[in-house]
Amino acid sequence: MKRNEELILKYLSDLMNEEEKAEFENKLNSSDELRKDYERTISLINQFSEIEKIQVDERYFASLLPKVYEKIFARKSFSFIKKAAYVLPAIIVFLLIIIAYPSSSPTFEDKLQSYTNELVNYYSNHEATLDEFTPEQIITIQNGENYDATFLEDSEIPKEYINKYMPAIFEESQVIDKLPEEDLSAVYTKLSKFNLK
Amino acid sequence: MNLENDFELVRKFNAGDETAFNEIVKKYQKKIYWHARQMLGDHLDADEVTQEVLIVLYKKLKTFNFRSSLFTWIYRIVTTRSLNQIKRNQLKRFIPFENTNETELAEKRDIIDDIINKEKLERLNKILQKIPPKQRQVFILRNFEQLSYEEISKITGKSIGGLKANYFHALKKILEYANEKE
Repeated sequence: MKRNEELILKYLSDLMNEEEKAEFENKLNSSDELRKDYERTISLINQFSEIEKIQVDERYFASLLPKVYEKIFARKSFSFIKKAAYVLPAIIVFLLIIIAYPSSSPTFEDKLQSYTNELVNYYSNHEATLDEFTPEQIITIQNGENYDATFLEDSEIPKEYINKYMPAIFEESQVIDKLPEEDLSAVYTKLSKFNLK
Repeated sequence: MNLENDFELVRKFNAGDETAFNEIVKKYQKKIYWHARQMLGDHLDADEVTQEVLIVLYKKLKTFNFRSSLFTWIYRIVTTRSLNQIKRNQLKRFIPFENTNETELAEKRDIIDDIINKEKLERLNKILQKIPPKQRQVFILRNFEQLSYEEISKITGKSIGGLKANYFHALKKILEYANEKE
């Protein structure tokens, strides 16, 4: 067997080239000893192929799918609980931070208030009048309509004020709708202090 | 393997039809189990790997890209999981876990009731377990699944030359152990 073993295994493993293969097959036909060894090897290997044919308890395979689904859903629930265990404290901490430290970025209302204050201060200091600013325009702001701010370009308001505050205020004029009534009144009142036409 | 049917089942499952998954399981569960059982040598480990593979299938079918056959894809998962389980078992041997009853449990829970078949399977398993895992894997895929080296290469990602060498050494060891028994 030992003598033939190497050849048989090389043949079965497809490790022979075409020439070696043909030579082996010829020898297999002519040598009883080689054929006997070959058949014995094949028979031994084939025993392993028959494993699946062994009768098994089919109830195992019938119960497999329910068990798998059970595990899948158990893991989903566990995964949710696990996520919740991380997410909930994070949400609580986040809310605490928001409550403790109000947002530092100014809201539209803040910008409007700030603009109004600066505008008022500027004209108070310069004792100027804002002839271009009509009550109708103020009402336009109050009503939340789109406001044309180009009239300010020719006014005495320094450009940096316009550049700094106007876009925030007028481009987002629709947000005025969200302004509380008292804030709008305050804006109107402050601007009305000037000699408006 | 009916590729079109497999792809159709995957498409149906990905579209939300859970019964398609049941069909896939029915079609492949025995192949998965027997591959794991031959790789691992006992029912308990094979059962664990089979269930894990089916869970992975359920979760990952959405990522199946239809570039390979479903069969190849499933076998890639089974072979990887089986090799990982072998590693786990090898580690357990170094660490003294309380696993003294495991063999006993595996025998009790086995799905093979017939004593003659059980003995036959145990004898073959003992031989298989003596072969290094990667050689065993090639032997099982080639001999049991009747796969070509090309197909095995797609599953394992190994070169055909390397697989041939692995199969040769696996056969050699099987003959040695079989001759020892006689």
